Amino acid sequence: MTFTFHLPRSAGEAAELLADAPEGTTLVGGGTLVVPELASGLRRPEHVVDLSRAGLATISLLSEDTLHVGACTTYQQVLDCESLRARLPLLQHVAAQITGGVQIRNQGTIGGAAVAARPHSDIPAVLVALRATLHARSAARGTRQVPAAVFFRGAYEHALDPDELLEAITFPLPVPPEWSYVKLKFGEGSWPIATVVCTGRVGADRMLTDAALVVGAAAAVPLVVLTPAAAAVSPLGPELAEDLARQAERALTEPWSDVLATGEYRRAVVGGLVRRALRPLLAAGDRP
Amino acid sequence: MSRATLALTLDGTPRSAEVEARSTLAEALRRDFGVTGLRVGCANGDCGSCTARVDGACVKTCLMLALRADGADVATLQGLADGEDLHPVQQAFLERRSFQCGFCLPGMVLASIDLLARCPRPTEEQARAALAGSLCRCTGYHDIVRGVLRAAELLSRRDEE
Repeated sequence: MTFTFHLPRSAGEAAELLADAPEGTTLVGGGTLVVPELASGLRRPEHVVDLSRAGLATISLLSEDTLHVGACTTYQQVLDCESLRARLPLLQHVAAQITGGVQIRNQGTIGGAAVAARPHSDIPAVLVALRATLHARSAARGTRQVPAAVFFRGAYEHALDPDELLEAITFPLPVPPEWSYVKLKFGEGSWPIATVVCTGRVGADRMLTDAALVVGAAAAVPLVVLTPAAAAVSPLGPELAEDLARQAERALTEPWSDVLATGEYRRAVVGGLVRRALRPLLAAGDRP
Repeated sequence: MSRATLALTLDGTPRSAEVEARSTLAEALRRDFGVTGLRVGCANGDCGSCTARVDGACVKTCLMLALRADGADVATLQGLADGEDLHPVQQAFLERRSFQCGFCLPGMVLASIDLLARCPRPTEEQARAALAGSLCRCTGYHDIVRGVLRAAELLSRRDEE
């Protein structure tokens, strides 16, 4: 088995290469997930298009209310980016916790994680919680925007057409000031069993507004428990936490089962993880 | 093209070789460039034994297609010592018995060097976290962590001189 290797110097060139043979071409971003599949023969494309030199790894502020992260931006680039410290600390926090050591932080990409759409992973739920937009590009149709909320179609299934590549992810700013992230795994080298992403604003009246609560890694796609569109729910307190924990359990009707944990286990732990994730926000509500 | 020329700088020396397009960098370095200072342990990115520094960044070379590294500056475990003079991390690992079979050393040593460049006085917790990309079947990690902390001592002593 062999393939033709391409190393395009721009996103446009990459899109043209993909357009030539959409079904027989594999795109490589960071390579951490795709290269083992190529090496083992799980994927047998005719063409491999490596995106590492296509200029897709920049982080920039498009405006005061939009942050642009190129699809091939690595976790380490996210960690090293000064402007993310104040504007998107949640993304830096998640990047710091990615499994696999310094090497995976240097190689793995945010866009690659999104396109892989692995159920048992960190990034999809974070993109949904942060209301990210994924920018798809094809040679034939140009670019289009896909909200994170509809990008993840199923396990390992994304919303890109076969002739599209993911060019960038944008985040609306400012993000709510309070946030927390909980990740359950039992081995250092393990994929997550479940995650909870929580963002929100806590008013002087202890009301939680502009809140997102998303469970990740526990189902085929991220599970949205709260969206910012929902009005202020109720004053922040133990009752709200309990309510949201039970809502998450009920919403997890088809929990993901794999070698790390059964679906029943994931459903059993999700309530506790939601309570854990809400603690920093409850504490914010208690601040004078 | 199913074969192509890969030109890179390997441990300071410009080298080139014909590689197969489907080779990972780990495979090409071993088979076509004669490098033994990294191994293919899992071919899946878990064990870290394939670690090299490519353009200054520690990476798992089994996760990179070889041709992507065209023109790159590659540093391996083999390039660390200066003749008989060991790198302080290598010296510390010897002193603290931080290895048995040595298979995991590419990841352990290079990740330690990376840590100590950013964090010259790591806590045990930080040393342990820095090794998260590597699996060791022999040692139970305890003496590797001690080796990292000893390396920090040796490096700070060297900097004081």
